[in-house]
Amino acid sequence: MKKNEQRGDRIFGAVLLVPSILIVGGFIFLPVIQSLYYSFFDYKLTRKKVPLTWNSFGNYRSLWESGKLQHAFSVTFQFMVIVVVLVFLLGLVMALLLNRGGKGERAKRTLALLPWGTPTVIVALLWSWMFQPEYGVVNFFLLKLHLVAEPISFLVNPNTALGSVAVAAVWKQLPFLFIMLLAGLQGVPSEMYEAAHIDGAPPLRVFWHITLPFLRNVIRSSILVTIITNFKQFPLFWTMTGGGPMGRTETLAVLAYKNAFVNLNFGAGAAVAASWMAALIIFSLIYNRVFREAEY
Amino acid sequence: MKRIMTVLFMVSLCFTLSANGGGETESQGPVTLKFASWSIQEKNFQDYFMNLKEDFEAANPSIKVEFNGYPYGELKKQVLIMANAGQSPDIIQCERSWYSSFVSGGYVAEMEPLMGADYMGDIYPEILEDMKVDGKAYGVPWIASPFVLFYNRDLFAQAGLDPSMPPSTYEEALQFAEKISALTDRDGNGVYALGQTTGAVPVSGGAVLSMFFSYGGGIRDAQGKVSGISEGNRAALNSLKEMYEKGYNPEGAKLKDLRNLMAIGRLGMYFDQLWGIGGAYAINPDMKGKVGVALPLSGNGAPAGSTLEAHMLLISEDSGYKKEAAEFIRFATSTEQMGKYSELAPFLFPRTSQVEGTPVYRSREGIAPVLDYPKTIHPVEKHPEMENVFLALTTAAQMVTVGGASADEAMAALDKELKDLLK
Amino acid sequence: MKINHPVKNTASWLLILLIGGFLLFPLYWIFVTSFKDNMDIYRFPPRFIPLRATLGNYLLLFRDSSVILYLTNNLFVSAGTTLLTLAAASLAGYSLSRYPSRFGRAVATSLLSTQMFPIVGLILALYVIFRNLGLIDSRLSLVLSLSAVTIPFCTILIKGFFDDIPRSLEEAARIDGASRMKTLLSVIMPLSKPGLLAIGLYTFMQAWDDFLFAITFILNDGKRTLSAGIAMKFLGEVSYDWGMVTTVSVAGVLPMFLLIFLFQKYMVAGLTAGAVKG
Repeated sequence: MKKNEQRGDRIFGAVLLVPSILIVGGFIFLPVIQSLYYSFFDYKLTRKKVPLTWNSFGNYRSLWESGKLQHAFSVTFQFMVIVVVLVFLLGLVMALLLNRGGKGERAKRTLALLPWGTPTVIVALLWSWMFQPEYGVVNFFLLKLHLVAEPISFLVNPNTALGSVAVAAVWKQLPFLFIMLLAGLQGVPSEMYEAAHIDGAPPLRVFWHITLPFLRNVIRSSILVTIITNFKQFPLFWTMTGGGPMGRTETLAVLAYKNAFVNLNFGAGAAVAASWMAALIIFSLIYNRVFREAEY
Repeated sequence: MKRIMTVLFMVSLCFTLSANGGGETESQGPVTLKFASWSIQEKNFQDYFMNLKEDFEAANPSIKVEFNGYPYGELKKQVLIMANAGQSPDIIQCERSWYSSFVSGGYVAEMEPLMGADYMGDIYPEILEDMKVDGKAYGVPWIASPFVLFYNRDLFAQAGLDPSMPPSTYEEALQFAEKISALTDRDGNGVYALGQTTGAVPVSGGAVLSMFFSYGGGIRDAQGKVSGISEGNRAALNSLKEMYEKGYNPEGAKLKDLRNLMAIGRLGMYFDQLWGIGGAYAINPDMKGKVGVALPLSGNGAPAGSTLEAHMLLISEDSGYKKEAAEFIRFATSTEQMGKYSELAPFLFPRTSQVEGTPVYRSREGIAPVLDYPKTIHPVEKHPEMENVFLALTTAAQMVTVGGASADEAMAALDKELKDLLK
Repeated sequence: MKINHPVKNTASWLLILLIGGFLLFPLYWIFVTSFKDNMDIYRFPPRFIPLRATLGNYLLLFRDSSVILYLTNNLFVSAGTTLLTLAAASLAGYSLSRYPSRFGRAVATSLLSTQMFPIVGLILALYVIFRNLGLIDSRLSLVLSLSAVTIPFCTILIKGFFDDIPRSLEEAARIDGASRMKTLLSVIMPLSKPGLLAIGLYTFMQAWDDFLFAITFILNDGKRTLSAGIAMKFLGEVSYDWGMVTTVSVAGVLPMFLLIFLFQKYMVAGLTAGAVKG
């Protein structure tokens, strides 16, 4: 009887997974496996299909030797770090400031969430337009406040291009982090604060020793999502800079796209994508390990 | 569990990897042609194209046309994906920088057997030559243009220049630019004098290459070997640097940015495809009549030159209805249809008989000054990496401007990149 | 954390204003631009209140039936994706929570790992799959591909919710003779409404934003969704029609705003419970 019950549990547990396996397996897992497979072959996007030839890691080697892969990794990494740090810090500040309850809270939060609902295609164009050196509104503010003497070509200047795309990314993603952190803050039991208050602990210490530990899980999952999102970021770059100026914003996504659909070297494009997936998986393993160890 | 996994995997593998089915051929009923294009659903053109479709279907009851519209920046990728899945559209609208990709990938059919020698022979030889790979053309030009010079007549007058006398050399243009850049608009903003696109998109690369040609440079040396280093390129890059340092040229601008500036009266002169000025008119219809047009400039004594800019029409090699597709192309490029289309966006007719047989068209204000354009066209490579070559050219232009490098440094980098791409 | 000191209070207000300005100004800018004509849009110095406000763009929007069509299609695809994701992710999340096994963990890990693969790298293979299924140029292809992207993350989130529900409830139901499925549907699901709502909203937002799938799998204008439609129609080769782009954006963002306003309370509650558990 007991044994039967366990068997039933096992089967039921497995059956529940079937829809997800079918959908994700069929429409993401399989194409990924196929692309991984192509990354080891000389595979050009031509009409006449020639038999695939194994090129003994040739796609990976030539990407590495040209230095483009390393460059793209470094650009992607810089971008990701800028966005994650900004989004996290600003999100935390907002969550702390708006976690006071009271009137108008709902309205304030709704307003803060609005950028999240703006389609990425529009976000990219909107910011390119506001960053315009000739008639962009950002330059107007900077000039008016006498922060700059001359308009800046944000997306064209090699020193500002990456940061400018990051600003657009932060704008779109900040609401998500804000809402996650706010939710986390509201989970902190108020008795904890009251106890700290009676002890007369300074606010910074309260934050460090009470608030942050409670937020750890929220921070872990939301930052991981942010990291993955920004590692994958493509539309913002493609629309705002196209990888320029002088390759300064050529991320892994742009490099993969260019190889597959500009050069028609699909094998090389798949190799970029594969290196990147490998990097992300290793990264997330380390990431989870670090967070787990921090628990004790 | 393992067994279930294996079965699932096999099943799904079957539907992923099953052989590419060729074009499905329906034997009865009207033939449906699929036309992949970025223009057909653009707001400014959609009415024209709906009429074109209806007119064609009325004249050819056995053929239906299905429009598959994609945004300009997505069309090439989309066609590649569809063709690789065995679902290539029958007719493809193609941009200059993608042409080599489609040809070298073997996706498109040779045109002469489909269109006939008469049709092909009617195309301006300079244009046809530039579309040939190993003596064969794989598409026909639909609308054509070199990079012409547009200028704002009002600003010319304000700067004390003769609005009917555009510059014909770069040296002259730079002199004009000095006067124009002293002007301001009604809000007190500065005016850019001479716009040359250098944004990181392929079409800007064509514009930069045109400038190289105009200075007697290019991407091959006198012996025909790939080279980024030449006197002409150095002079062109130095003049780009000057235009940037003196504030004549908005840095890193895409063509769209230049058109916007032209529309609001903050740009004196700029280089664009003939139809590009339509972008400025769309923003400010009052500009019509205030914009003059001239042939590309000559620089350093070299004859003016330009790449061929064109929208082309290609027929897919996989199409089951090549003959019908050719019929549609013939209809779309007929003098009547070309006339209607060119009312919406100015462009040059690529066939001699149409230009000569249409006096109205030849005397049009925005067309007449540049009818001599075919002689400025320099043929360029049909290498599969051409799109990257165009991008490398924009990088060189960015290096001497926003990058602060010297012309020699930019040429050396370009040379290395070109030899790598075109080997 | 209560901040009461007056100096700190001013500082925190300043911060709120700065961040709020950063978040809201661009939206204001879209909104205001939709009332300008094309010449005013490029004016410098920019006009923060349109000098000659015009409803022209909105009139054009309502006259052009295709924009309404794009919106409807987007709604249809997003709703379909949300339903499918909810169904699949809640079942899988429940399995991971209540019937943990090596197999389940392996599935969860591999599904999550594939999320790290860039879409541009797999879009070609995906097109071939949909072609073989005869789903090219169907909205179902968008529902399926978008669900495949959202299911893994939603599964992990909803698992956190199920973990929170005491097992004793199910045991009681089982002893009363309810089947496993019935227990799940009639006891557990009603208790996890906030969680379902949270992942539903997350999915809806992701699906609403889609551009790449829509542009690749849809061939005809009649089935096109919002982002793709905007790009096709108003972001032309030679110029952008900013007046129309911003107008359509306002029309496209409004439903999102409504959704956020109505559901944000649940979303906060929902996302927290899942995320805090991790």
